[in-house]
Amino acid sequence: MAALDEIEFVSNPDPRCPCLLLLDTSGSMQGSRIEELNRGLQTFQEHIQQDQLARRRCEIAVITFGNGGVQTLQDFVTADEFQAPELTPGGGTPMGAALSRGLDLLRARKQTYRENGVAYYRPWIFLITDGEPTDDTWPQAAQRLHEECEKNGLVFFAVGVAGANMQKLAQIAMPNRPPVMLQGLMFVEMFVWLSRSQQSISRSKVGEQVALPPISGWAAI
Amino acid sequence: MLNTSRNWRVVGTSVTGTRHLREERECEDAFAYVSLSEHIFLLAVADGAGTASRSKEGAECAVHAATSAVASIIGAESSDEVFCRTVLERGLLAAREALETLAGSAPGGEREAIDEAFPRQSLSAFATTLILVLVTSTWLAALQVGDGAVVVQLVKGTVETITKPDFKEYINECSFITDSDYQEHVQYAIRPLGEVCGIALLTDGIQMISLELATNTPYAPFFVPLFSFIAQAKLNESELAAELYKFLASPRVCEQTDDDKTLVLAVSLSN
Repeated sequence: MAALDEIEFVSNPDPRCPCLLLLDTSGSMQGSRIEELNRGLQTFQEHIQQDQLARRRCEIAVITFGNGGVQTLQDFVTADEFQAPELTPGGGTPMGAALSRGLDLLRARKQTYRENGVAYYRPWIFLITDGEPTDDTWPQAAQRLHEECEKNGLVFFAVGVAGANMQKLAQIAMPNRPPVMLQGLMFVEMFVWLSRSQQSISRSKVGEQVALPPISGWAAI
Repeated sequence: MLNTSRNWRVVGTSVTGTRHLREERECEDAFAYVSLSEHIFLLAVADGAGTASRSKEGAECAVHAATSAVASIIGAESSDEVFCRTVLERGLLAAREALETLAGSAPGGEREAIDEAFPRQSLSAFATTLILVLVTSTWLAALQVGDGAVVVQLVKGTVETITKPDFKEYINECSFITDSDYQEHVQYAIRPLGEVCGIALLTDGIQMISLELATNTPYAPFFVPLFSFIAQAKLNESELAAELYKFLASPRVCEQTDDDKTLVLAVSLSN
């Protein structure tokens, strides 16, 4: 006699929620800025790893621009494997090249998801800078970014630290999501917000658009 | 809810997701079964969007409008392949029009302006998917917009997906019949009825545990025992539906999926 307790479930891989951090490590970040940014990254790691679902679903990558040029410090890993890097500042601000590298990394990641039949959420790129691009490829990189955003390929957030050229940042960011100024050096609060946002997205279901927590806790109005 | 067309047994149920229970929201899925003659019947399921404020009404309205429209135009005589498709498309159109009426939107190009003027009544507030299945004496035809799936069991024993979850690039974004481009997201499938001995319509709450999402392949150890459970003669339809409800509301299922779940099953008793 057939019984419902004989039914077995398929186990599907968790859908992934990619988040790429583009971090300014140029010389001007020297001192308390880089210290607070490092503390923020540490908090991000601890906060996101406490969430059992986000640990498995969120994926984090880190690209820095400044010290050593553009560096992929961390290709995408699930949050449970993420180790906050210890950043050291130096050099210029090759933001355009970093953005291009980031878009390439994201494209490759989506390709990997597709090849492996892993479902995914819309990726985020989260850029933090206290300056302006010192390379001349940034307009092309920004254009590529806009094309990607317009076809819903990703969501782009830009955060300026005091001294950032907000006008230039506004040209890089999308008009419907303009850059935000960090209040003081509240990197820790900002990364808690980022972790919370990623947690909500990684839980969301079909047809859901996630309401993000308010940014008033760390953004200057 | 249940009933039996000759030779087929139909059992269906909806269970409110545990997350909706926590948030004190009702089940936003709906389903319908309409028997038109000894040989012809219709099945429909709809999954109201979690973010749409009136999606429960949208889902209910869609299944009823679609099945009523098909019922009013289909004849008792056996229909050909082309006619099956036309009929299901009419059902979809009727569902869309009924939602437009419900939303108080004017048909045609003025809709957006009206949406702006009456944002609370906009069509998207009623966002829902729709799966519609027509069984005649010769054909099984299925139409789907959005998430969910239609799985069939073939007489030779295998199970296959004939319409599949249509999420867009991202897993939390899907098509609804309230989208302006919904007609570009219509899936349609038809099979000779003689090959088919079981039919399952499911909403996305059941997808994660029953389909391999990478390939949209139905998981046989899920469906085969389910179909044979429904086919057994020992229980009647209401007892079967009660058991099915208990199963879908059980901790074993709810640990895997906290969404609303609807499953409508039809099995041929002649095989």
